[in-house]
Amino acid sequence: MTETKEKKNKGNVLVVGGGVAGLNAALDLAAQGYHVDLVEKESDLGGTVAKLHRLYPLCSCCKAANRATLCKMHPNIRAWTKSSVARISGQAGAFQAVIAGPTGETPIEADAVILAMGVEPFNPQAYDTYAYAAYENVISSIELEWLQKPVGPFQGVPKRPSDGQPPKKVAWLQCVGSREINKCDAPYCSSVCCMYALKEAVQLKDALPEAETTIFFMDMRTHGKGYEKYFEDAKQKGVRLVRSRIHSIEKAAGTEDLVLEYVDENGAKQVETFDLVVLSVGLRPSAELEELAKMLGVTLSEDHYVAVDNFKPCETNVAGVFVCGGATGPRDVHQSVVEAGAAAAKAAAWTKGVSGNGAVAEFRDVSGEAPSVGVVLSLCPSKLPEFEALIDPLAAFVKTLPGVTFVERLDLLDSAAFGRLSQRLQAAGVNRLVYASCTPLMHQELVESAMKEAGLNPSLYEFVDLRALGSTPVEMNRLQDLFRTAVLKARMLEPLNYAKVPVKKSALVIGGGLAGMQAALALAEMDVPVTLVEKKDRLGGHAHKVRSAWKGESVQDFLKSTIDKVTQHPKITVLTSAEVVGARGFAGNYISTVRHNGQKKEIEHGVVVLATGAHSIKPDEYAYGKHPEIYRWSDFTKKLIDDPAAFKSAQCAVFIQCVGSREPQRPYCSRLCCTFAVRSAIDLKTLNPDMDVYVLYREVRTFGERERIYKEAREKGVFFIRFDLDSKPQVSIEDGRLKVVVTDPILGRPLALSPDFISLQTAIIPAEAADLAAFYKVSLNEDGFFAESPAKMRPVDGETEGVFFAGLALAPKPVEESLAEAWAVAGRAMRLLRQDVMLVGGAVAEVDPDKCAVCLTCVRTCPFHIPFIDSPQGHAFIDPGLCQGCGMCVSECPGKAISYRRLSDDHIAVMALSLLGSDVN
Amino acid sequence: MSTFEPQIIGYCCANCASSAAQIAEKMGLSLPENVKVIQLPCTGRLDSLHLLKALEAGADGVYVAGCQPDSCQFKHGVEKAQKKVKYVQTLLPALGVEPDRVALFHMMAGKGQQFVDAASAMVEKIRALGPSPLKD
Repeated sequence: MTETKEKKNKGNVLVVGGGVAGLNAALDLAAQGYHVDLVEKESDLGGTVAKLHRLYPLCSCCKAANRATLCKMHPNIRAWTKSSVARISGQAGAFQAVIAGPTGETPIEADAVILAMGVEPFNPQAYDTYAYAAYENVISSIELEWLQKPVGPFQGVPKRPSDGQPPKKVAWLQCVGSREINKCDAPYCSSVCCMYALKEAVQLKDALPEAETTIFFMDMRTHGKGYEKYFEDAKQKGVRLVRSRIHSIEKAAGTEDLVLEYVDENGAKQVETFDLVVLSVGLRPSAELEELAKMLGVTLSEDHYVAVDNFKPCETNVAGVFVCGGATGPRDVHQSVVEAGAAAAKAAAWTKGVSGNGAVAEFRDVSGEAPSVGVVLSLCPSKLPEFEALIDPLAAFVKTLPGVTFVERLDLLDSAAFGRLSQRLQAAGVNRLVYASCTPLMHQELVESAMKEAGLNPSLYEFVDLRALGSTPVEMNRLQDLFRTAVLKARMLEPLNYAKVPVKKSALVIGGGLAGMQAALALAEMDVPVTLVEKKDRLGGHAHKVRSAWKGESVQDFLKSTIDKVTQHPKITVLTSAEVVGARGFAGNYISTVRHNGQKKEIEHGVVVLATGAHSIKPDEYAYGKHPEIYRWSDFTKKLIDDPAAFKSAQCAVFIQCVGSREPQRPYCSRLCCTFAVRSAIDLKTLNPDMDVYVLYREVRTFGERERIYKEAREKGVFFIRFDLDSKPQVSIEDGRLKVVVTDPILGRPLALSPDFISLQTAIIPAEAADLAAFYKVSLNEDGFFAESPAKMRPVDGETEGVFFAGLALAPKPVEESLAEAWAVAGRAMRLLRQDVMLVGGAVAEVDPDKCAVCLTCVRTCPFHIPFIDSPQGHAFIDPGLCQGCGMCVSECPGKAISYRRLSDDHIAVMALSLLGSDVN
Repeated sequence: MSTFEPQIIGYCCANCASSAAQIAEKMGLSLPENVKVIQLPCTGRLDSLHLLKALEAGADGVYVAGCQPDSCQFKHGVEKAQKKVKYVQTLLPALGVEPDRVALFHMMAGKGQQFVDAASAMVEKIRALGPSPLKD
């Protein structure tokens, strides 16, 4: 927090909250050239995510730590920990805030503000019958996360608090502090607890295979991408699920075990004893949100989160104040990161005025110079004092190594450390760097940018990994081997090629639905020329068949105004009845071929947005197609849009859920159908209160604040009847009349309904996109949706730079989430488009044409399908702009025609020799 | 009692294995002193030659630490490495070297203990086998 990080950029954004949303918003803004003041109340960045053990689908907690480190050291981000916003006033473009922290109060100015204050876990003491405070073995889910963490108290193997024994029988109670108003004033669903309970149970079985795990739940809400599969896998792994809300927890006489009484699904009373009970606590808005909102004039929702218009995600009612993550309502990490990107983009669009990166510094030609190595030791403050004692003798040893010019320590507590590193490299005139650190990868970007600033080719550095080393004097031998080897490797490094390629500052958006149009508008608002390609003869896509967002807001009005804006925007060229039929190039430099009006034309662009949408399937069950009053939901909605009174006189309506979803052939949940059915049911009841409306469902997944309309529907008298996959409703037609028979699980007997019409909520399937995926080198998942980057926490990025996704093409989702993704895409794209020149190349695979026998091994090996055979040249070609540098083709090539100069076979052989103590100088 | 201390080279990937190392560091764990790590961008970069070269250079054992098969950032790098380890294991007997001197471990990014355990398991195994026959 030194004053050396001067505000030198075009705009300053105040981000309040240093959790996963705030970190991502800050980094996205910094990457677009803005300065950020990041304020966090705790002593460390990371927020709730840092307290969790693993995140779905695998582990990406480490990626949060990564972002925290980057934020702390980033030259364009000033991180204020243990701090809060004491006062704030002003308006968009000129906010004045006072930050209160350990060093007193500091006034700052900001053009825009992002509220990213996250969530807090609900305190379960409000439930006296759960005796959380009284019984030792009743713990909260957040406490279990800590017990499960490898860096936690028991190295990742949970023990129960009363006796320190590993638990044998564990129960999770869902909805503690959610979906209830009596004890906790939280009518909403916290959205994340079903998934985290499943994860915790699976992890617990992983650590303690003998343990029994049972989750007591009301509706299992696994509505995210891939979540349903996780749910199924959890059941396979032996996680037991019991549909029941537990009233109270009793202690078994004479022990610390816990007794749960419940009624099972057959109506029988059960009594079971557990040795650990986990309360799956819900989410609450940050305690500081209300006061800050008041100072800013930001309106809160009735659930005390920031109130947001569904068509303007991440915006508050105050111009220049944006919001993302848990501050807008219960959110999972995925959605928080999407919104962080969207909020950053909106703040950037508001602030405007950032220019490109201008000229990229020239790298000094070091070819004629003898290797001169600077060695930098960058030690975590947490390293043990015993390790510290090794440092001086080690430095003395390193100084004697051939080629070493200086050995120095870098003070990581100084937030300008990397600026100083750059100056030091320049002043000493060295041409190689050895960087020894406990966070070698996290610092990679910072080290490389320091080198660039010093005019050095960033490939001329080698790192020493100081992690997981001992601290006894005998460690010195290994340290000497490691440093000798690193210096040797540094001396061997040759500067890699970086081509400077001008960035084409324009975008191609494929798909003219709401997501595509919104992405085009967002980019155009940031002065980027956009070509919008739509297959059909009109814009709008699936939205033409969506009547309202979940609160009832008219999608048709919004759609109409969006189409008007798009068609009138001077920066947007709309091509309808057009199709992309080919593409080449890489981030910053694409040339795509579009077929339009029977002609092919080439379009140059820097980024591409794939927003190709999805549609609902035509089912082959429930007598679909055999009666005019059996609708797919999209057709049902279309009819209501065209004639709002269409179903007014109906006596009875039936909605059937999960048609073709959550079945073996299509295992995913389509996410929006429950909310759709509930919304429609309410609207029908409002239209005609005497109508009987039945929703036949498997789980009601009205996640987050949508739970409110589920409650409203029940209050209005909508009937909800649950069915299982093996007892699906039977639809028949008798004398032209519809008949539905469904078994009521509470009564345990069949119920016959005679509806006037049936709406089938059929599965959402993606538009065919295999060609586009191949053109732009991205992948589809097993369900045919686009797969986001495997590098975690990039929810709208493709695995290839410069390719982004938005909307239904990624997964089924409601309008407001598609719009947030569209904005996030714009923000992510601007990181590239704000640059004038891109450096292409570096640590990539290079083909030696003379050795290439055109055997196609590399073509088949590359996980990203980058190599191809350049027929006129007669050898394989690997585009340095696309290669991701994994090195797989290098090792697979039978002719050794591909090299990887960042870490060549020769380097590896010499390193092995040197590490084993041979003197190979 | 022999005083043999095996020399071991570990080829570790920059994703899961590196993340596991990060956790190991936080947990205050340390790798056995006779294990030295060469980091690869992905275990897919591993060539059979790298395993053999390390043995030739005097390593008593060589191991690879990569991702779980389903969590490789480069999709199937660790599967490629697995193949190479198996291939080298088939070559070693012809050189009079025990196949067990070469091994592969799947790391989990959150499990620091596993990162250290793999290295220790390797040390124990090689200690039992004795010095590499390739050394003079």
